[in-house]
Amino acid sequence: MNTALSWPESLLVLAVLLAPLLLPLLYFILYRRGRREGLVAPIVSLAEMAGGDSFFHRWHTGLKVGCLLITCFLFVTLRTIPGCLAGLAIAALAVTVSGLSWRRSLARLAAMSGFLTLLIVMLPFSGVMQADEKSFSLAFLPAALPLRLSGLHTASLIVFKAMAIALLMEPMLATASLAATLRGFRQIGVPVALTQMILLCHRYIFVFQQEAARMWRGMRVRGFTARGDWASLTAIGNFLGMLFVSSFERTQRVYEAMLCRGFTGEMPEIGSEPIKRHDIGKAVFWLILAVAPLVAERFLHDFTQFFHK
Amino acid sequence: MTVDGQNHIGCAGLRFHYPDGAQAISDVAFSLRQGERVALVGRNGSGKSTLMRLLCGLLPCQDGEIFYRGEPVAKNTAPAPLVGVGILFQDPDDHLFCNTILEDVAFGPLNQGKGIESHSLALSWLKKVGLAEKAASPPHFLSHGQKKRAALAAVLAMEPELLLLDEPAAGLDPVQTEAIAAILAEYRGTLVIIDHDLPFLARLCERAIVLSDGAIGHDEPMASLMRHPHSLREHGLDFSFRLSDDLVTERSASQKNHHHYQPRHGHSDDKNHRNGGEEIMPLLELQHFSYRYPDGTLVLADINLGIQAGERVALIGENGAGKSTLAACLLGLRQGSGQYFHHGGEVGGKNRRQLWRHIGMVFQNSADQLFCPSCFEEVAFGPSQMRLGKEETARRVASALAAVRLTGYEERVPLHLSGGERKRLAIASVLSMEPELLILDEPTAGLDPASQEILLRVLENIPAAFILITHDLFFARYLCPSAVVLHHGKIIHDGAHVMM
Repeated sequence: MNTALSWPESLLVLAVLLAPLLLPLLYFILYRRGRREGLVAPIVSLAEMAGGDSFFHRWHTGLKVGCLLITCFLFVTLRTIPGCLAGLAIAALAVTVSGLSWRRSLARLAAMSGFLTLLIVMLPFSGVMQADEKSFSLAFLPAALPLRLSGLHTASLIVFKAMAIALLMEPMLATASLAATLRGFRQIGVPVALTQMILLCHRYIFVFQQEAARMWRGMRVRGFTARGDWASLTAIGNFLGMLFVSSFERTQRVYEAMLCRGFTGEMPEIGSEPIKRHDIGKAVFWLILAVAPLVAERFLHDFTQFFHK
Repeated sequence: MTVDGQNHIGCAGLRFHYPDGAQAISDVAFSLRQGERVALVGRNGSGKSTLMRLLCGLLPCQDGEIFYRGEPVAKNTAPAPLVGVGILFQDPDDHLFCNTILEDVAFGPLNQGKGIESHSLALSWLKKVGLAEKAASPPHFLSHGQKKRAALAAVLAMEPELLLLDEPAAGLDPVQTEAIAAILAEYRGTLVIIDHDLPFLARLCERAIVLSDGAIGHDEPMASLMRHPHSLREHGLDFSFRLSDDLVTERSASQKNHHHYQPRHGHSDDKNHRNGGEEIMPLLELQHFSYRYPDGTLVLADINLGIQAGERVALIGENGAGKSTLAACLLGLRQGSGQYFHHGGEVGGKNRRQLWRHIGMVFQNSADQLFCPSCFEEVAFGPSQMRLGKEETARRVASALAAVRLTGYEERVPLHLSGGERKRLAIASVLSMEPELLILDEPTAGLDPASQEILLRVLENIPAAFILITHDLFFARYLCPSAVVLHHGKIIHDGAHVMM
C-alpha cells in the first residue's frame, strides 16, 4: 500500500529522518561556544561529578551498577515505540535525579548521532517490501525507492533504545569515583585484571594526551602542517613512533614504581562498602521502575495494539 | 668491602651491562652507614640511575655483590625490590598511577598490610607536603611541583629506611625546591640523592660519591668535594662558572619592556604606558593581553610587554605563574584577548599562523621536540617546512649544528644522545630556521654542570633575540640584561634583576 507524498510532506519526513543530527547541533549551540585549542579536545574525567549527593551517589556501587545494567538489558528487549519512549523518559529522569550536567549526556548522544542518522536514513529504504506493507513515495526520490513504514519503525526503536542506554551510562559511571565504580563491576563478576587495566588507562590517558599535545606543538612551531604528501606522512609516522617509544618507556617505569611500593598483582583498596537496607530498597524500587515499560507493553496488549494500528 | 653491623647497604665488585653490551656499571664498591646522607653525582650518562636501580633491586645483580642490612642480596633475574627501600624517579607521573593522590599515597601502606590505618597515614603525609586539600584530586589536575611533592609523600608514607631519590628538585621553582629540601631534612633514614645541583646537595648530604663512566671517581665528604674545583671539573661537575661576576644585570636597568609603542590608546599619566615616539619599533608587543583557559581560569592578566630585535629577556616566576602559556601565546598557539603586534602589524588570522617563521621555541623536555631518525633530518625539518632548497637547507643545518657544537653528529640518532647533546640539538633544530626570536623553556633542567656550561657558551653567541624561561637565576642574570617576573598571571616586575 503505497502513498505518494507531496513536496511539503516529503520534506517533513526528511526532517524526521535527519532528527538525530539535531543532537550535536543542540550540543554545540548550548555548550561549545569556545574555541578549541591544541591537538585534541581536553579529555573529561569520567568521575568529575562523583562527589555529588543524589539518589545514585548515595547508592551502594555494586547494586547500582548491577541494577542499571539490568535496566539496559530490559530496555533492549522493548518492542514498541511507546515502550521505548517510556524507557527513554526513565533514563532522562535518572540523569536529572543524579544531578549530573546534561552537557556530558548531550555530548554522549551527539557522538552517537552520525550512526543513528545512518540507521534511520538507511533502514526505511532497505529490505524486502511485503505485499500489505505501508509505504510512502517521497517527492524528491524515484517511486522505485519507497519509504517503508516498518523500516522506519525498526530504526526508531533502535534509536530510542540506544539513546536511553547512553543516558543511563552517566548515572552508572559518573556518580562514584572510578575506583568505586570498577569495584562495583568486580562485585558483579567483571574480572579484576580488566578493571585494573581500565583504572590505569583512565589515569594515563591524560598523561598520554599531554605528551602527544606537547610533541604535536613541537612540530607545529617548526611549521608542520599535516598534508597528504609523503613528507607529511613520514613526519606523522615519526611522531607516532616516538609517542610509542615514550609510552613504552613510561609503562616500564610505572610498573617499576608500582613494584617498589609493594605491588604484587592486585590493586589494594581502602576499606569496603557494606550493603545497607536502604540500598536494597533502592534496588527494588529501581527494578520495578525499569521493568514497568516492559510489563506495560507485554501485558497491556490492547494498549500496544492501538499504537500498532 | 667489609660488611659490619653498621653498614646499611653496600656493594662490592658490582658490574652491570645492558642487553646491547654497553657497560653501565664497572667494579663499583662502597657501603653506606645507617642514617648516612649521600649525594650520587656525575655527568649525564655516568650510570647514576642504573646504580640506583641496582641498589633497590629493580635491576638484577649480574656480577659482584650487593649487601643490605648486612646480608648479601639474592641474585634474581626478575625485578625484586628490597623491602624497606623507597625510590623516587625523576618523573612524578610514574609514581602517581591511581585516580586520586590519596589513593596513590595509601597504595604503599595498603600493600604493607596497614589496612584502614593507611587512609589516615596517607592523609597525614599529604598534610606534611602541603597537599591535604588536594587529597581527592586526580594527579593530572596538579602542577608539576605538586606532583613531585605527592610522589615524595607516596614514597615516604611507606616509612622506608633507605630512600633513593633521582633529581627530586628538577624543574621546580626555588619555593618548591625549598619545600622538598625541608621535607628531606626531616627524614631520618639513609638517604641517597642524585642531582646536578651541588649547592642543593651540599645542604642535605654529608658524603659524595662521584660516578664517572660507570665507575667510582671519588668517594669523599661533600664539603671536601666542593673545595676541589679540579675534581669537579674532571667529572663535569664544576659549577664555578656560576660564581662568575660577569653578570649583565648591572649594565641596564630600564623599564623598557613595559610600554606601548603602538599608540592605540592613551594612558595620560601612567609612566609605564608611554606611546613610543623616539623608540625603535619592537619586534613583538603585547598590549593589555589576557588569556583564559577554556574552563574560564584566568592565566594571563593584562600583560604589557615589548621585545626589541636582538634583545634578551628572562621570564621568571613560580611554577604555574603563566610563563609557558605566555610563550604559547607569543608563538600563536593560543589566542587571548588584547593586542599582539609583530613588527607593528597586529597579529591575527593568517599572520598568526605564520609566526612560526619568525619565532622559535625550545621546549623544556627535548623529547617533545625530537622525533626524526637522524640529527640531520631533525635540524632540516624546519627549513624543509619553509620550502627551502636542498643546498640552502644543508647550509643551514651545517651552520646550526656548528653553532651548538654538534658538527659531525649529522647521522647520529637523536634518541641515543646524552641529555646535554639532545638539548643542543633541539636548539639547533630551531636555529636552522633563523628565527628573529627564540623562546627557551628551562634549558638547564636535568643537565649536568659541564653540559650547562657548554649550553651557556652556546646561548651567549646566539644572534637572535631570546626569551629565557627559567628558575635558574644564574643563567637569567648571566644571559639577560632584564627580567620579566610573572606572578599569578600578572607582570609584577619588568626591568633589571634588582629583586634577585
